[in-house]
Amino acid sequence: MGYISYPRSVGERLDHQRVQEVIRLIEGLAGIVTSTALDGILVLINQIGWHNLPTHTKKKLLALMRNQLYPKLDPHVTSDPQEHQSYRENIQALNSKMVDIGLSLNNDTSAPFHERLNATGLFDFRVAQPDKSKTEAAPVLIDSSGMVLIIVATGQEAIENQGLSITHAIHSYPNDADSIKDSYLEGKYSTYFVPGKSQVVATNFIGKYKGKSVTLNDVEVREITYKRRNRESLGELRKKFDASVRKNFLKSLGNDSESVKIMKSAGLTDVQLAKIAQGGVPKGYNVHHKIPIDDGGTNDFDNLVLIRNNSEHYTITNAQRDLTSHIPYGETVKIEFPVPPSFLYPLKGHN
Amino acid sequence: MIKPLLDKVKVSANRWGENLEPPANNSELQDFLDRVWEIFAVRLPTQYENFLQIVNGLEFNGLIIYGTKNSETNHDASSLDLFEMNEVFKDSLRASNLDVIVIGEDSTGLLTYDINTKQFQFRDRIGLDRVEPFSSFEEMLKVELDKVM
Repeated sequence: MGYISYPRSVGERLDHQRVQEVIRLIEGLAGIVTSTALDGILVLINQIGWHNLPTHTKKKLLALMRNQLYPKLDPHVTSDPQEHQSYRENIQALNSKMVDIGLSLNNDTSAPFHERLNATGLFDFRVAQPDKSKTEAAPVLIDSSGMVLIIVATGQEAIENQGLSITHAIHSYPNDADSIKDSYLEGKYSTYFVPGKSQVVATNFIGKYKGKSVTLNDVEVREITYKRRNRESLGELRKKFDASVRKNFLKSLGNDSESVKIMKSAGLTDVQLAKIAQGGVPKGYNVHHKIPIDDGGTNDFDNLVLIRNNSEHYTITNAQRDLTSHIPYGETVKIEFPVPPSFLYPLKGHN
Repeated sequence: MIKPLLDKVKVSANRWGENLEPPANNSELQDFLDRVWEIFAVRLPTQYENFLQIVNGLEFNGLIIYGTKNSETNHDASSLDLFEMNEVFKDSLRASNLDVIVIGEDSTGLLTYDINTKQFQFRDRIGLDRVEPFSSFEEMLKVELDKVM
């Protein structure tokens, strides 16, 4: 097998040809899937930086994983107990990756999780209905192919032992007990961790604007560990953001038909959209770092949001400032941080 | 020179189908300066006054410099009213013990005028404590426009 060089994934334009080569390599490996090959495929997917791929390439990658790779996975591919365990873990990691990519293809975070995944046309998840007495059970999604996802929010108590976790799910969802059990035996079961309890259902956030309480709808409240970045690296990130990242982020939105549709329905005008397509910030808006670069936030596109200034941008940054201004350098503090979940905020215009 | 900088901005803005704000007239400017004195007990440098006599506030590609009032009636538009915007930031400035007037903003920071040191500054938007000083309003405008042109 020859060597292949991976495109870097730091928000720069990816080399289309090399991405295609990586996809071809995955196609090749999918044909001879073994426990080692699956490990290699996961490494490749991580290294190409899938979240920076253009939408159509992301779709292609997901379709490849779902239609060609996923059906071939068999947890009994090896009889070696240690290898068997690591293979099962890889299957779960692959399933989670498919969910990550699927969710990234549909930014409408006001839609339920399973609908966003089903919108890709590659899944048909339904929500398992819990026994009434088990209303606190983690949500479970079931796909007709046998794939089962248990949704656990980061920070919430997850059952580490897979056997116990599946037993818990079987008891909580007696009507779907067979599907859940089969998914476990066939290695099509995954626990999917979401960052923050509110990613499953976005919540409202009450902030302050000109001394008055303002409710911002559909803002995630994420628990993050805040540590202030040193001045030099902050300056570097800011410089890169001003020089190219902001412009490229806006261009990527303005030239993606799905994003344009969402921006139009949020009330952006044709003049504003034309400016965005050329990488310009439309009047009335700005580009905001969801997790500030003052903390561990990056210039990656999924950390950026085109946000209306008046009054959402000010309300959110006022709150972020109140939460963090007391944190001394070098110290880490856990805080609940308001974060607009999508690439645009608000997704709907003024009521 | 502020005028040539703003002439360049005008060309770019027009290309995007946008217009710059009209200048503040003499009485608007005088009322503004009186109110700044009344509230902040400071007189803002004449370069900023000159700016207002060319454009009464600026919003260009994410850079905002406040003026004497809001000219837009659309409630989705950004506010260009210096007094209104300083109300927005008042609590944060007070919590950080900052004796500054917020003059404008860009994507990652606030542009401030330090009442004690008489200096224009860029401050990071969240922490407010990482400061990059400018020697004059004109320098601030030039540096900030370079970021967005």
